[in-house]
Amino acid sequence: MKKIYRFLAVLIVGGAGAAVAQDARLLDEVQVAQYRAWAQSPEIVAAVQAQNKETTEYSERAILALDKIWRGEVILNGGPIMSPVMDSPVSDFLRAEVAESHGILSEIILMDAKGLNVGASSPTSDFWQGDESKHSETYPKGFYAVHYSEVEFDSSTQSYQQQVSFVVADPLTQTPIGAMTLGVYRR
Amino acid sequence: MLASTRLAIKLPAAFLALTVSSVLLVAIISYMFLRNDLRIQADFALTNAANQRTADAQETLSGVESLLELLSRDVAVSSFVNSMTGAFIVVDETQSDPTTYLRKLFVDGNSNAPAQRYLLAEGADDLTPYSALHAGWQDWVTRLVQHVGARDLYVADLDGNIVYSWNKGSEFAQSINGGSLPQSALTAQLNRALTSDGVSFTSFEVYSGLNEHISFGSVPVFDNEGAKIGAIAIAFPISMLDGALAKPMGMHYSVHTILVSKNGEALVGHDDDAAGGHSDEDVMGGISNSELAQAALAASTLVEIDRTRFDGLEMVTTYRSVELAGQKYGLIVEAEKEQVFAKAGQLRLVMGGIVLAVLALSALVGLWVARSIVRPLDKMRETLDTMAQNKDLSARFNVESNDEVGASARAVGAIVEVMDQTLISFRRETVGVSGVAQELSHLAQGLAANAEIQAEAVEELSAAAEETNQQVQSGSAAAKDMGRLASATYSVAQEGKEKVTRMVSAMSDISQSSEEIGKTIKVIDEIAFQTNLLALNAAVEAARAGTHGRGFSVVAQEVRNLAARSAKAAQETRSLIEKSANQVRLGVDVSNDTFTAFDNIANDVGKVVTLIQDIVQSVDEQAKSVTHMNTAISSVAQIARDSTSQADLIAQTAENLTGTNASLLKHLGQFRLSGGIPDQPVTMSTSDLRKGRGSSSAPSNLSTRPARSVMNIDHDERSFGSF
Repeated sequence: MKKIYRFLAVLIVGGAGAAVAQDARLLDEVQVAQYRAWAQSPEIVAAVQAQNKETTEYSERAILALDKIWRGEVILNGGPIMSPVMDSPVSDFLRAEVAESHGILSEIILMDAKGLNVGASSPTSDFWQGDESKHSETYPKGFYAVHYSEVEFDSSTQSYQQQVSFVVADPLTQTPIGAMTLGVYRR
Repeated sequence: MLASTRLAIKLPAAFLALTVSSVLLVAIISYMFLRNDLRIQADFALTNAANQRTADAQETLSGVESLLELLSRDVAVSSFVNSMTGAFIVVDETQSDPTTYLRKLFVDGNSNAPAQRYLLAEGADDLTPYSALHAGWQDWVTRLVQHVGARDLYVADLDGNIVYSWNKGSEFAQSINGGSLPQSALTAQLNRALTSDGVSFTSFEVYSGLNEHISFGSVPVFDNEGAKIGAIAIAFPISMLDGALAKPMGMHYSVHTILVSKNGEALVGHDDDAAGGHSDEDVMGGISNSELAQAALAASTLVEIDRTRFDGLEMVTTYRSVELAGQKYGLIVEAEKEQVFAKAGQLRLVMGGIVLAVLALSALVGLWVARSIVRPLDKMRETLDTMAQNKDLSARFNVESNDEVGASARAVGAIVEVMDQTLISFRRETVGVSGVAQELSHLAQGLAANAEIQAEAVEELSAAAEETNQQVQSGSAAAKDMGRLASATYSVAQEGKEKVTRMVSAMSDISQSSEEIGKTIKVIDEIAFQTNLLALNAAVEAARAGTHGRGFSVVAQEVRNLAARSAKAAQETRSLIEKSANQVRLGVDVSNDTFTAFDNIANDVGKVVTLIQDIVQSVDEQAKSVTHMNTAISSVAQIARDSTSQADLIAQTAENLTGTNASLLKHLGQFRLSGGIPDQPVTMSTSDLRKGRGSSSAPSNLSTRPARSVMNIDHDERSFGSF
């Protein structure tokens, strides 16, 4: 299965690689391509599509309210909004991937079309990522959009971190349905 | 009255009265002091209780206030409020009428009873996250609400929507500003919270939504950045103050606490002692809108009164106004008078018991003391009565006690014994005197009789002397006459001598004649003999003749009889003659003697004449002496007469003495004495009398006489026994 993703990823990267700025990148294009392919796993796509159904009609006010709730629940390590997201099968699926990354990935965040979390390998501070570049620089930008954040030194882990975000699309129609952000380590 | 009451009653009664009155006095004073003390204690305790209640209620409310302050900035609460307000926004954003939508989900669609609507955690909502959020928080809120004992908890967003209520009442999902929800303490309180920064409470009042006295505490809720995100209001029931108002005060009586609202309504009433038996309704009874309620609200300091409760129960009451969580209330703390003074009641019981015990004890002791006094006295009195009645001095007091009464009884007994012994001696002496008097009487009588006899003898002697005088006189004369007669006799004697001589010769003649007669008679006698012999022969012959001779034999017999008679006559005559001859011979002898006698007489008469002359001379001298004697005898007679009358007087006196003594003995005899001296007078010699008179110191005898011997008399023993 993974080999297929890798193959697909090579194809994707081959097409988009030139467009990506040659900045400091903790993840190379092949790796990104592989994860993009993996992000089209049915577990992920189904979860995003299901959430999109609920959140399509959410106004910004409602989304902000939910985000506020999330932020409140983060302090309590869980709540009616956050816990279902964090405890969902897709979050488990993401956590398994992080575990298998051999220390490359610190986290994976999966967002719906609105930028609301669908799942995450570890709790995020916000529910709504729509106002952040990991969503605003990917999902609205189309199927190939990939966004690298600044590399930051995390003193707590004594490591460099970078967030790599890309679009999650319907594998059949190539239509963006959400976005995914990978937290990458580099010691 | 008092004097006539018996000592046996008087003494124990006095004892009893004194003891009981003193105990009663002590009891009453103790009771009054205790009652006063209890009252002071009660006042103190109630003041204490009121202060305690106030402090506890204030503490409770301040605890709640602190809780609300905590909730105001609590992360969880903030998160919760955030969630519900956010969820409401989502509903508001996605649904055309959020109120209807949510009420449909949680009220209309709630199958639980109105009071348990909180049990519905998640409404059938697949459009919004509200149900999920609600379900996520409901348990937490339930725990919070139930932990603080609240009735409900409300969350209002900044727009004034009640985005959450725990039990989904009429307020749920309504707006506090206008809309269909009427203005209430709750809406006002939520508004206050939304517009202020602090905690506030409403006064406890009946809230229609909960039908209970509720105080709403509200506070704005801030997020972790300090921004106000809404407000919560919690409905506290009045029962939250139960802990403060019903907490046992640990008195020995139950303390009733009543809280009055500022409207004068009794909010709550508690009896701190469940065993006190007073329901809250009873405790609050009649307080609402009463003068007491108004007074309690008006009193700034504690006021203390006595009052009668609606049901007639007497109460000791204190009241004052208190401020709880910024609201004014009236606090009434009271206790049942009966319970307050229960100890006094107990004391009364105990004292009653003591009084009864003392009553019994003092009655017993009084009776015992009285008995110990009265019994000997009674015995003494009875014995004295018996003594007086029976005049019996032989009775003795049998007194065992050694106290004053016993000593007195013994003293009286000693007096009686002394009297007894004195009377015994007296009687003995009296009996002696009586005997002496009788003897004296006898002697006097004898003396009198002797004197009488003497007098008579003297009389007789006097008479005899007189007679002798006369006889002497006449003797003198007779002697003279005798002289003459003697002379005459002499001549007669001479003459007699001669005549006797002649008579002797005559006699000799007679003697001769008699001899001759004798001879004649002898002849006659022989004839008679011969005749008889013849008659006998005739009779023999007559017998031989047989029948023919029978007549002749009769004649013979007659002849024979005649012969016998002749012989007999001759015999008699001869004896007569012989007798006569003898007498003549005797007569001769006599005549001879007579002659001699006459001769002697003549001689003697001659001597007599001489003697008579001497006699005449001595008789004359004697006559003189008799005259002297007569005079002496007269004096003796006089003395004898005097002696008689004196002896009579003595006899009379002795008799009087005997009489007096007898009556004395009679009186003495009425006394029964211990001594066995006979009552009869004893005969005593005068020497005894003298001795008796000499040893008449009776009392001195008493000491020497052994008392025991006196007491061994039979009737003594009896009276001793009945004593």
